[in-house]
Amino acid sequence: MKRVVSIFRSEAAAIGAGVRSAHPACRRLLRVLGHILAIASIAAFPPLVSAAPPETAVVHITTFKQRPHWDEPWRSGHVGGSTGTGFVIPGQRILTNAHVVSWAKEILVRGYQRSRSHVAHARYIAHDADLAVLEVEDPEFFAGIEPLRLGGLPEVRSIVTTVGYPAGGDQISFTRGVVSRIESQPYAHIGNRTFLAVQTDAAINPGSSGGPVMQDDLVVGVAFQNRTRLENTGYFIPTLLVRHVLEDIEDGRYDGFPDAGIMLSRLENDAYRRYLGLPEELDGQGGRIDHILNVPSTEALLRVDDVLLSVDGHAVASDGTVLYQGNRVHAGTVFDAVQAGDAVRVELFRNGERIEIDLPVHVYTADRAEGTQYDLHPRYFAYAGLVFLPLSADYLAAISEGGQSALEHPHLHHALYYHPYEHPEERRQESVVLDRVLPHPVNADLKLHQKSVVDRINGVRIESLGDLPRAFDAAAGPFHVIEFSDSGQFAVVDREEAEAAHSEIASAYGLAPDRRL
Amino acid sequence: MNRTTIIAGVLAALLATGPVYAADWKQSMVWIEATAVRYSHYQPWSSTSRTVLKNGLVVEDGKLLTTAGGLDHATLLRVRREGDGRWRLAGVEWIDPYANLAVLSAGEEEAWPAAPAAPLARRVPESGPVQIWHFLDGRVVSAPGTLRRVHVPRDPQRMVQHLMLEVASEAGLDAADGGPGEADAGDEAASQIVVAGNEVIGLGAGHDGKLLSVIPAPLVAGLLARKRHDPQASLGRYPFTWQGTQNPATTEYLGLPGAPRGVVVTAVPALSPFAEHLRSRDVILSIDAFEIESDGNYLDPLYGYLPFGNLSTRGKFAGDSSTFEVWRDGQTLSIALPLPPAYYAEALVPDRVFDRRPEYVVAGGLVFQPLTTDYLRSWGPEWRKSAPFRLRHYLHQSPHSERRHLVMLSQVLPDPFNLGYREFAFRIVDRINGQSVANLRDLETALQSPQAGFHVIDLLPERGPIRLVLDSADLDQATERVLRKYGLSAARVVH
Repeated sequence: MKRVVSIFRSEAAAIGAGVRSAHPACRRLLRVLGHILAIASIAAFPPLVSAAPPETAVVHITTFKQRPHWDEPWRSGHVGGSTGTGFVIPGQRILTNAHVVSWAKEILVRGYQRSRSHVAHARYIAHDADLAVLEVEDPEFFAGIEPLRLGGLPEVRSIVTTVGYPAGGDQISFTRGVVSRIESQPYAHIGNRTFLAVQTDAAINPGSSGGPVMQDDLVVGVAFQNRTRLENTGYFIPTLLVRHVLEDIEDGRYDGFPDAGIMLSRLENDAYRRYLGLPEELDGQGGRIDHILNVPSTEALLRVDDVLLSVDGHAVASDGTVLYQGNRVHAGTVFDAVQAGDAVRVELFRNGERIEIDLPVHVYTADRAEGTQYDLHPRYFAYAGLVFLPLSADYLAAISEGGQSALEHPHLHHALYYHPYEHPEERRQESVVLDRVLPHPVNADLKLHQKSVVDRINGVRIESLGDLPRAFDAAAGPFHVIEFSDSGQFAVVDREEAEAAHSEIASAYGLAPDRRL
Repeated sequence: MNRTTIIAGVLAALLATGPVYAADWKQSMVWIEATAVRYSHYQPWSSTSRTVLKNGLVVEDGKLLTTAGGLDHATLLRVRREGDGRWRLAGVEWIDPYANLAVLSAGEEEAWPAAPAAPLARRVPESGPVQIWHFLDGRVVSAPGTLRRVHVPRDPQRMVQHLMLEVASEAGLDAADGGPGEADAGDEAASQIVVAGNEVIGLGAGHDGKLLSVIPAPLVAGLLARKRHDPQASLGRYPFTWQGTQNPATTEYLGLPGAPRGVVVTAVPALSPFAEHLRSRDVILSIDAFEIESDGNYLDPLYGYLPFGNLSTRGKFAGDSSTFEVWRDGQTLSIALPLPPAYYAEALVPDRVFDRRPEYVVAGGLVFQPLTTDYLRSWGPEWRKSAPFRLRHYLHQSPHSERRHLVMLSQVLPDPFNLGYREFAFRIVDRINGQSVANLRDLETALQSPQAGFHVIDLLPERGPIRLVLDSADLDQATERVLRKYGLSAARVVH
């Protein structure tokens, strides 16, 4: 089962729109014609191919980063450098990967065969799709550079060339490879999103990130990740996603890929199909909506056990896939086709009838803590030496040696990754953890068994870190009472002593300020 | 009655001074060969056998004392002493998995050489040199060790709390049985005999590197004596969780005058026999007149400060009462509560199931099993790391009246009948045909009530699909086909 997470508008959407009401046999033909037409239409608008060699638009990027300490966010993080690749696109902009420029304190770009670096800034970062758009302070940087143009989705078995500045030397590097396959892949930068990706055996190594993948002098993708345990397995982001991001930012703001808010599962078992009353004419078609996330528009329009027959005109097979530009991919790929706030036409089978619904889709943020977060400094709240942090994947990774949070902090691991799905009625905006107690006579005897999720403080249910100041202000008696989820544990702090010691503790342990909410 | 018993009995009568103890207690050591069926909890319809060599000790009444490991599902038990030319048959008198002790009897009618009972120490030293005795290739050998401490392990997975000895061995502990090639070693079951002076101070119950955990002799002697009068006797326990009161604000907040002392009850499981008597936020000030310190320790007259959990087994057994002095709502109460026995099946995920082969139901290729710790252990020695996280985490959850146990859809044996469900594994069943399922009997009952020709199986919500539907008319036929295809002899084992 795959989460349907994103919406995308591209030339494919036009192809799909023309197919919506066609007979299945015609649908296949139209799809083939549509693909040919799409390529032909690109060819009809000069200049399609840069006059200059494409490498002249490929830039070397050096980023100086400062990553925070997720478990001690008041401390300054280490400063380190990394390099990557980018390429110039129309509008005097540079496209690269989000992971090349995340947490950047300074970004320097250097053009092909140039000696001088220029200061750049990340104007937009799409962490979900691992893409970023840079602007360069000095417009002279772009003098003489012909921007690269975007192509479409390359054919499987076709040859592509990656261009970039991978490790192993300073000069630009070219590698050739075949398009091995095209399917949905987890995007490692954010960690909890899956989008279409193209696999190639062309070498994609550290430093290649953000470089263009070329075919016939058109960019068909952006190199971004590989598999360390597999040989010759690199991935690039197809231009479908690049175009989505570029369109998204046209209004001056990046919203992100929206989410349909459904979990789609296979509907291959004959008994389940008959249980739902699906007629034989739909044999082999339809994925089952297994459950629905907390997205109001989706909750209002869709139901569990609805059978998704088509998305934007693309027939959904019983294994939850669609045939998309000649590739059998998960139906979620077609959802990755419109912008947040737009609607997608879906055809459903419900209660013996086929119905069509325009499903609005929105960016889903409730699971943000489950993915890796960037560029916003971690929040914390300290009171009398008690340090509270929001529970997140980044925090768990910081406190777990070797990333084994399930092993080292099973209660927190469960609270972050499982509890919200098992008990949606108890879901909080975010879970808050009492991470540590900075020792002082006022708190030195608090003996807590483990890092625990806070349930209530002075009777106030803690829905997010921002509730803590109000909760501590709510103390009516001489004590603050902190209650933890599940364990029955609680901690009591003398209020007067805590107030008196707070500043001293914050100062002694370098918590200045004592909070970042 | 076997001859050992007769001899011991006659001698005891003649001397009228109690049991006869060996001047050289090594004469009391026996070598035990236990062959037992081992079920695969991962594929519960299959099994293999395993032979364990371990040590034992003749105790009063001529019975043979050893640890519980390796004896469950025994098909052949044999014993011999040093110098014996051959093995003799033996039988199980009782196995107590919670105390990790067992008593065997030499079951062969023909002569079993008279063996005097070994002297079990009434009190163990707190430290000092010891000898660790065991059989090796049929001979009794020993290795020096050092008793490092007497303690009460704080392992939350232990259902009962009692004293244990920690012995450091100067040699390796792996050669505790018959040695390589003679049989499959089982060092956790080895039951080494630990001696200080001329007294047995305990039985080895497992080791971590060169540290041997030892069940102390006084605990063993107490249980033996109790079992002699009450064969069902077992260790008791305190079924609640607590936190300390080292923080003065805690007891002030709870209104307890004076210095911080006692421990605060944090949770009493709803199904616990203590549930109606102890409450969350009660402060336990003393147990059986032993004052409880703010860190949860009490002053033991013999062994100094120990965790109060030891009071549940300090000369007490299940059914005996402990008297709790409790601070609640501004007053002190005295509450006497009988101690419940340890009972693995009381947990949401039962730890071990003894003398019953693992349960399962195969329905149309879907394999349903109770979630047990034995199942999790089937993931290998590193199961706490390698078993599926969500299943492991149920170990931290408590049962409730609606769901005392969990039934798992553990795997799907592929067949056209279950096409589309191959991805389902390690998931907990919530309902079948609308009926709540907490054990395999519930499951079989629910399968008797299909809904309009279908079985609707709902799983507990998790990160994955939560519903399957099966054709009820074809279920039995599909099950038969799956049994043939995968070589299963039965579609169900349900106790």
